[in-house]
Amino acid sequence: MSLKFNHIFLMLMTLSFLSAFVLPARFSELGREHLGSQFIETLFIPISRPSYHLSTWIRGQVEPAAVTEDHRAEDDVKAENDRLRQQVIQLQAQIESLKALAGEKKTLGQGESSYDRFTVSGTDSGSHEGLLLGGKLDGVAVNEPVAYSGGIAGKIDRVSIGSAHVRLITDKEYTQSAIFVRFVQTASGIEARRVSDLLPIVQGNGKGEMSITNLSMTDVVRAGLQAGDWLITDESLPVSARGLRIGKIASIEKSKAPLFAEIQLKPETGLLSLTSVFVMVRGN
Amino acid sequence: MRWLSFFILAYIAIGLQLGISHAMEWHQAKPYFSLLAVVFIALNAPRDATLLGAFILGILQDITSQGTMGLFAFSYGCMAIFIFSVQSAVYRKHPLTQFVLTLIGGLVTGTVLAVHDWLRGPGPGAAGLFYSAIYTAILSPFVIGFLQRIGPVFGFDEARGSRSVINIKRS
Repeated sequence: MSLKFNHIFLMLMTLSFLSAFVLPARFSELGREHLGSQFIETLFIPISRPSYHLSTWIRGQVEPAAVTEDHRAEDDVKAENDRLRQQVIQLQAQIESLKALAGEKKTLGQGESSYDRFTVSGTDSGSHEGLLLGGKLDGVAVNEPVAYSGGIAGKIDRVSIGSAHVRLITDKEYTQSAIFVRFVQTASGIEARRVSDLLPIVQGNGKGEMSITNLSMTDVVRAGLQAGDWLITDESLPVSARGLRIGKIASIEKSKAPLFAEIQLKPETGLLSLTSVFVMVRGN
Repeated sequence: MRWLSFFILAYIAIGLQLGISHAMEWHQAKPYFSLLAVVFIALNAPRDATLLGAFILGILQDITSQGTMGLFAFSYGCMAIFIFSVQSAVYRKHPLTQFVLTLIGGLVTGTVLAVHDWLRGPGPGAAGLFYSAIYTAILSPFVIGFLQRIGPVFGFDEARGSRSVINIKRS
């Protein structure tokens, strides 16, 4: 009996070793599908969802509030508030006109919003940065962009019955081409202006942040990039996911690779603490 | 071993892994509840149940993560082989035993993951895995200690490894 078990266990270990170290990733993914991951992953949501929301809430209560980096004088802040008030009025007027346009669009059958909101039920159980979405996921498909109030969060990695996996932009295996922009104050309000024509490739670093390592230091200096500039999504994504914020430049340093720069980026907020996200849904 | 109890344990361990492991993260280190479950099973269950149980927990962890399929199954399998080999020589209810075995188990898993990342592309980094092993080991006396208290639910043979306890008492 035990001898027979030894053979079975040896076979299982060999298979898992081959899947992990030898076979290409696409074969491993096939194995994941054949093992019924669609069904199994959903089973854990009754435990993971309440514990995720409870633990995220507790962490939010316990963790000290982020220290503000704003050292401006009170008068400057008041002046900015006045400008912002004015801007809100202008934006409200724009919203009214856009609403009218949206109404027209609807009659033309071009659809309204492309995104639906979904609740986060947990995080990746392994060592990657990802989110688990649960519930009714009609129209959610692999590779569709996932957004949150601060910009793009990632993309759908796999979809199963009742659950979907999001690979976050901060995961080491996520790459995204982007555009450098700087928010500048103009007479008509705050505008996002393209800073350079460089083509940065943003890659997650697996620690809640991202980096760019494909640009030479000379180009970065010539383009005048600086901490505080932003990166937004480019034409590589569907139209309604273009222009979403990816992250803000935290630092620009020399890379370990000679002549190259290493630009560190921070997303608007900790993506692993999101309680809900927006997914671009087919059919919307 | 009662397999129904095992599957409930696996269900709760993976569910908590999905739900609260991030919230408990501290400087790249996060706890692995599935690893604690493997150590508990390997300390108490018979050989075949230990190996199969560890492999099942690894597969469940693989299915619910974005990593390469089979990676956790292989590492938990290796870990179970090691822990079972010392099962009869240790006092399984002692917190230090639980701490040391979880730490070794975490390091075995971390080594397999680090080798995988080194061979096949980006991963969490060796430092994060090392810190996670220590973090999980610190939790082990509490979690495994609690599981040992409800041990009868799993239907383990209490006589297993009792010789080592008697030997410790005699010495």
